[in-house]
Amino acid sequence: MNKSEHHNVVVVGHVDHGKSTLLGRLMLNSGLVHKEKIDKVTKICQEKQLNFEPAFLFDALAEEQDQGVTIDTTRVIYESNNIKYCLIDVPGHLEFLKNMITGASEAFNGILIVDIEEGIQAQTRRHLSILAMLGIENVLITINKMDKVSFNQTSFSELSAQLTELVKTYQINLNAIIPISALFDVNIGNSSDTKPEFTWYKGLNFTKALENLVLNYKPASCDNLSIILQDVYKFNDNRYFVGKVLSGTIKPDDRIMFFPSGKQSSVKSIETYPSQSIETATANETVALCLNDQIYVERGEVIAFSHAAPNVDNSFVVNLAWLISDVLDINKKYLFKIGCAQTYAKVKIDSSDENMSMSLGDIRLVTLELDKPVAFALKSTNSQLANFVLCDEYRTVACGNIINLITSDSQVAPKPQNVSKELGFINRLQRQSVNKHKSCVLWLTGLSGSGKSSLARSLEQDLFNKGYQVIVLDADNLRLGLCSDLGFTPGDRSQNNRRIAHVANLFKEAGFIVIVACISPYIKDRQLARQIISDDDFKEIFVFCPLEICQLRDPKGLYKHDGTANSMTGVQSPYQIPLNPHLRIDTSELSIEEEIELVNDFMLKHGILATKLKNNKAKLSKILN
Amino acid sequence: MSSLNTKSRPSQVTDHLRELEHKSIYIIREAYKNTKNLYMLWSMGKDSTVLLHLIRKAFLGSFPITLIHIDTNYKIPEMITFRDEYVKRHNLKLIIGQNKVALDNGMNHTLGKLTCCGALKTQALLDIIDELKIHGLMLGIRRDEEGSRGKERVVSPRFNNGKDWEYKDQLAEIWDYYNYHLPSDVHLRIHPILHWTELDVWEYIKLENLEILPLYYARNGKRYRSLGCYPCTNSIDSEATTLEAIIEELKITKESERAGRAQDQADNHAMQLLRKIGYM
Repeated sequence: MNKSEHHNVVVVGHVDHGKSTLLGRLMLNSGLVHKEKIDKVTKICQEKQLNFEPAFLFDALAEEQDQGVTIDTTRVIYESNNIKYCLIDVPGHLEFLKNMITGASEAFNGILIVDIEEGIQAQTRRHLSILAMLGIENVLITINKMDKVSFNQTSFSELSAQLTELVKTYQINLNAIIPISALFDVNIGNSSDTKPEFTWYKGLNFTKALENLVLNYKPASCDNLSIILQDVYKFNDNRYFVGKVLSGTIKPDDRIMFFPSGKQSSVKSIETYPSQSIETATANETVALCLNDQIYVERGEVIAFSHAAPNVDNSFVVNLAWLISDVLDINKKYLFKIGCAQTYAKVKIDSSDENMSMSLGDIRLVTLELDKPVAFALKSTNSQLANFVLCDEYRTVACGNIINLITSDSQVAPKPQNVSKELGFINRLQRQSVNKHKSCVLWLTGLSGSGKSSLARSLEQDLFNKGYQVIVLDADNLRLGLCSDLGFTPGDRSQNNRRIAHVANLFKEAGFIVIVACISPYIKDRQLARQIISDDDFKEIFVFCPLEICQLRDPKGLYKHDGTANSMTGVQSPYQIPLNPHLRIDTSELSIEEEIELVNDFMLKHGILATKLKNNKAKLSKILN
Repeated sequence: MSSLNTKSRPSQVTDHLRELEHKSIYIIREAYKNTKNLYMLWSMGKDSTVLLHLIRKAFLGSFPITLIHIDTNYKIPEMITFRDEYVKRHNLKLIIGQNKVALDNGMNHTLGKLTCCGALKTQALLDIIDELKIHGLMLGIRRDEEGSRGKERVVSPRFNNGKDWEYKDQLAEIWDYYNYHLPSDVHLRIHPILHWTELDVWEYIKLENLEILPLYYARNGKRYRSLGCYPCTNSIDSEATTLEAIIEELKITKESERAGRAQDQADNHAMQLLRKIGYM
């Protein structure tokens, strides 16, 4: 992000602690301010019978100058000692918080300014937590208006100690604390005369500390490719998929996948004008991709590699900042924007929480529930795809980061009270010793048409003929009975998945090798199944087949009904590829015999099958014929 | 003052310009996707000519946008020649807006600079916005030009048929999330090069080798730094006859870019007053 020659720095802090004055002072000292601008401010100050007010260089609106207040954010280029800065001025009034975040969201580094007399105030704390939320973790504190306490050392030390403690509660790296008087140009730098009362201070001047701040800055980076799709153009008989690279690098020939749709293709070329094709595109660059396949995708998808997929879900835990005076309505749907995708969202607050709303300036952890799933990243990955905004009609009312997935724990139905487990006389080990083999659950996950059911049936027959206790649980069959009350929303899919996992677990306890054939598109659902069945007994088998081939096979005619069944996994509904499956079977490349052999080898290796029960290949092919 | 003569590494300058360019292209593509119809205001000046080039880049050489020029009838004649030749050569669509009624009634700067700007520029612009039902209008303004532009958003809604900039209560514009969900009758000013500086513009013109109005180059010790109507635009003393010389001049100048623009000096907050009611 920071290869540019400019370092974006925002100055934050409570009302009237001197943000604009400090910036005005820096600009004046740099000699960068044009003559007319100084003349104009001088004239305005004379008319208002004020001393020269450096803040007016930033507070350019008439209303700002009349009231001596910053209403909106602005920024200016500043240069010192061969370092170029883009200084961002923001308002301190709570009322103008939306303007503060508008400015701060473009900064990499922060300066927190605190008035020595007033000390830590409401916006001091709030601005710190907003910096943390925006990912501005590199911060310099400056204690201003030292002239008002006659540059008293004790006052400075006391406030410094309080601020050091305060900063510890946020994820913020404190660079230094520097005493200054912005109005009287003391300890700013570029000026050698110092006040006699201030000789105790031996530390850095502000300008030097600012240099250290930006030179210390190391952007937290994310290596995973993610490109947000803005639009698809058709010009000059070419189809261009245009968007912005948020992180990672893309090259021609890369195999890419779109999320949440699950559509795939590969990059034919990366186009620019006028210099035609380029070899690589990287973070923060806009791109126009030509692809090798004619696929239909819409704005809002995220392009990534299938082995480093973004999360796809319609619910997650977020850190949310509320920016307007209307309070949050938990029954209202707000427009949710992430990358170029948008849908509607409700804010859920834990019902045990006393305060069921949010008002201007509140920042807290809440859950969002969206109308449809979106691709996203967690803030901990440093991806910009964790940042979102909420709008009420056209007003942006809140912004935040996605912090966490909804944990599987919260999906398990609450434990009923007054019910305890009754244990029988026969346990799983005894059953296994009668069966002469171990039991386990082979969880076959993959797109519709990928070959899960075919593999499950043939494998069942093979194992049965060899004398194993084996059963297939096909998700489609369970939907005819046990799960006939469920549809295909993400919530219903999760519920379906949970019930299958419990049934599979019962058979496992009964000593069976259980073969589950279930699309199970979401990582978190498969994690839940693993939890229900237990880590050791849950074997995730990824039945892979390219979507195009699945669509050709289409054994159930589901893809053909694209238009009506509007939650088709891999088309309108996401499929999250297993990141570390125990086994990956590519059914577009292997014969059914080869697939069965792969699974058998896997079970042998893991001691599930006993060697002596293994049949020869001749017999196997006979069965299958 | 010596710090102003900093030599940045050429690759660093190029990286910086490419970063600005990518951000602008993203903004242009967002505007194209999210507006019912999108136009661009071209003054033939350096900034809007850079914007024009960025639009061509955003659309891979195509130009699916119609240009609008507000012709006050007082433009320096070379500007009009440049306009007509450029449009013809690049096969662009151009619509000219003009307040003919005011001109017929003899409007000129002697009746008051702000009055004249209001009639021949603002009113002409508002008329054409109304006539063409312009939803999105891209302009080449920059934050560093003057104070009120410094407070602008990238996407700035103008209520009341384009006549009202609510600068005291602007919408939040966080990260790259621009506000396009306004009622469809709200006119949007879109500013894809708001984050550029005057120096960036010139360094980019050099990097991309762009055609630019010859009025910007010094002739007989004078050049234009900002272009407008001839009665209200003064040239500056300069020996800069090349792009390189202009860039070096800008690095050391103490004069502001719009010092030669009479309307800016007419009031302490002239631009704020003009821009509140629809000026570019």
